[in-house]
Amino acid sequence: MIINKVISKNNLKKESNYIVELENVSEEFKMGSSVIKALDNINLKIKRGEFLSVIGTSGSGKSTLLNLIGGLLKPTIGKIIVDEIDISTYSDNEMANYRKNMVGFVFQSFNLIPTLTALENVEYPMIFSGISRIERLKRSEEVLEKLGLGDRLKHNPTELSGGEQQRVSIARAIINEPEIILADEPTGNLDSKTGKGIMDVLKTINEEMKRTLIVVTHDIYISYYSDRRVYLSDGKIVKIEEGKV
Amino acid sequence: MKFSDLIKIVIKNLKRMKIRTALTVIGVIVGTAAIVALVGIGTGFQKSITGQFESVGLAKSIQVYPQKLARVMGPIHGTKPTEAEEVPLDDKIIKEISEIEGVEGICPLITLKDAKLQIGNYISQASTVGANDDMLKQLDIEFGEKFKETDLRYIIVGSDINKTFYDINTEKSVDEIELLGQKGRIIVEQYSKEGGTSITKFPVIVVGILEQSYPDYDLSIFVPIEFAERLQKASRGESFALREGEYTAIQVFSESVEKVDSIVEKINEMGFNAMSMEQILGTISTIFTILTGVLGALGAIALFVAAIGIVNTLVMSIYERFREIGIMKAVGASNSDINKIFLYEARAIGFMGGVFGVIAGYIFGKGLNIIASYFIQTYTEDGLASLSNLNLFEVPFWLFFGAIIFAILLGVIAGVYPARRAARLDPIDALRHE
Repeated sequence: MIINKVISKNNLKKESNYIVELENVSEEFKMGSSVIKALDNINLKIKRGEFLSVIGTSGSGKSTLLNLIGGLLKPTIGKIIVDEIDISTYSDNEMANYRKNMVGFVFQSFNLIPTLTALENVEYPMIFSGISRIERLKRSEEVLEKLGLGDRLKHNPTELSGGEQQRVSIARAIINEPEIILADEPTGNLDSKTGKGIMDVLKTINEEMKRTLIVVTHDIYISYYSDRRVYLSDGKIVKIEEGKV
Repeated sequence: MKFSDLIKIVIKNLKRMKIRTALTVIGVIVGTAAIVALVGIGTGFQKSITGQFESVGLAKSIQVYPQKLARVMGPIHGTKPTEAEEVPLDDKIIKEISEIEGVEGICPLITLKDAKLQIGNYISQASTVGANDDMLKQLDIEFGEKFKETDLRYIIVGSDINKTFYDINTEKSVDEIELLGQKGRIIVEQYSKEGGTSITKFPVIVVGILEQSYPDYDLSIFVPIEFAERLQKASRGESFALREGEYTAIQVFSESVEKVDSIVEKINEMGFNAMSMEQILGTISTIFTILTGVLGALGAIALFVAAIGIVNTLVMSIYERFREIGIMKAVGASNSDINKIFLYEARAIGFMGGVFGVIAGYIFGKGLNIIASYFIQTYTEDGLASLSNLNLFEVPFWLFFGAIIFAILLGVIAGVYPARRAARLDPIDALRHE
């Protein structure tokens, strides 16, 4: 059903170059009596496996863009086509499935569940896929070890440093092997050295696992890790820069 | 989401707010215990009282009164009002009734409540009942033998009569006294219109003791029917005597419990008022059932309040878990997943409260029973001694499971609103929280 369309593993799909296409996307919010345009007529094509940065100041609409691609929000106007399907027509259930299988989120404030251990946080998304406990724990351990957290499995987030927490968060984001990884200011709560470490991790995931990576940031230097940079201002794209710096 | 995972999540969540969960569960426990205790008492009471009457013997007996007397005594259900003609209960009628299909025997109902039996220095104020051969057939002797209808001074006593005596001089009650073969006297007092009292004493011999059956018979003294008539005359004086051969009431014995209803109908058609123990039992049962229902409703009110407590607890926990719900949605939990989790949290509270509540209610009821029995034993006359084994509290199967299911159901209903609220949260708003 819908699940088959959403899970794009290599054997199923004809190869289209673009994994995400935004067509005339606008997002409007009502604040009291006035209407705020968070995004204004966005047109953007994102290639498979691309590492894209979205740069802008606070209020530029960058987080809204991320949320739209991530399926947390529906556009007021326009289409969002992910893997050849217009997700703006999705029902609530289809959206939930989409978030489960197609995207993985990394947040600025980590958003780990404080009452769960690192291992339990990482296995969390798999619970909703009905995967068995043994399988879940096995996979979670593997990923955490790959990210250098093998000895932190039983720690609660409060017992972890910022960098470690973000790594747990990244582990959780990739545990269901999503096509797209979305990171909203991933280094925002970290010092520059740790921040660099996190960006290295993300870059590695992008290159080795061949996952599309979209990072939202206000920090130009962070954006230099990416292949392409999209500059947003007042909800509009003002500049797109190709190439590494 | 696998069921085992769901349960684990639910248990974890409930453990996180241990005290709050505990308090909410206590609310449900109290409500459930109330229902179980109250309905249990109602049921127990009903069973113990009707149980006293349910032994087959009494269930087969029918009391018959002439219409006029019935109206004097007050409205009795089943009465068909007849016009002016008032048919007397006499020997002719008795013969007619005895020919009704299913009638095994008839005995005029002559009971003296104020005649006393004296043996040696001991007196008993147990009721004296007149018995003819038909009545005697209904009785089972344990010691001694039955008298014949024509034996004037031989009497039989019920199995518990020997506990009803007290010493004339000390006025203290005595425990069992020897009765079989004893000579004694039946004493009747008559209050005359002029204000005086005359006492008549009739010598008697106890020839038999009955097997234990039910309190009515166990605590009665049976005398031959003619003797009873004479005692009645002596106690009421000439002015009260009915015309010769007329009776104020008769007792009809049916062959079987099934035939009682048809006999009652036929006697009513004859113009009399027939009441069977069955009818009375039916009325008592109905009253008790209504009473129990009311008690149950009271308990249900308590449970309803507890359900509101569940709603409150869950709604509050949603406020505290806003962000967590946002995270759940972000990692791909569907609305129905989140709905399920909160619904099951409510159910779990209902379940725990129900199970422990039933246990608590049971213990409470049993405790009440013990206290009540103790009081009855210590503070009432020995005539009620047989009641001390009363089981005033009974929890039938349906009450046990019904209460638990009711509590769970309440949990389910209480969870609907909070679960929907949680499931409908906007993930972006939720993630922004806190």
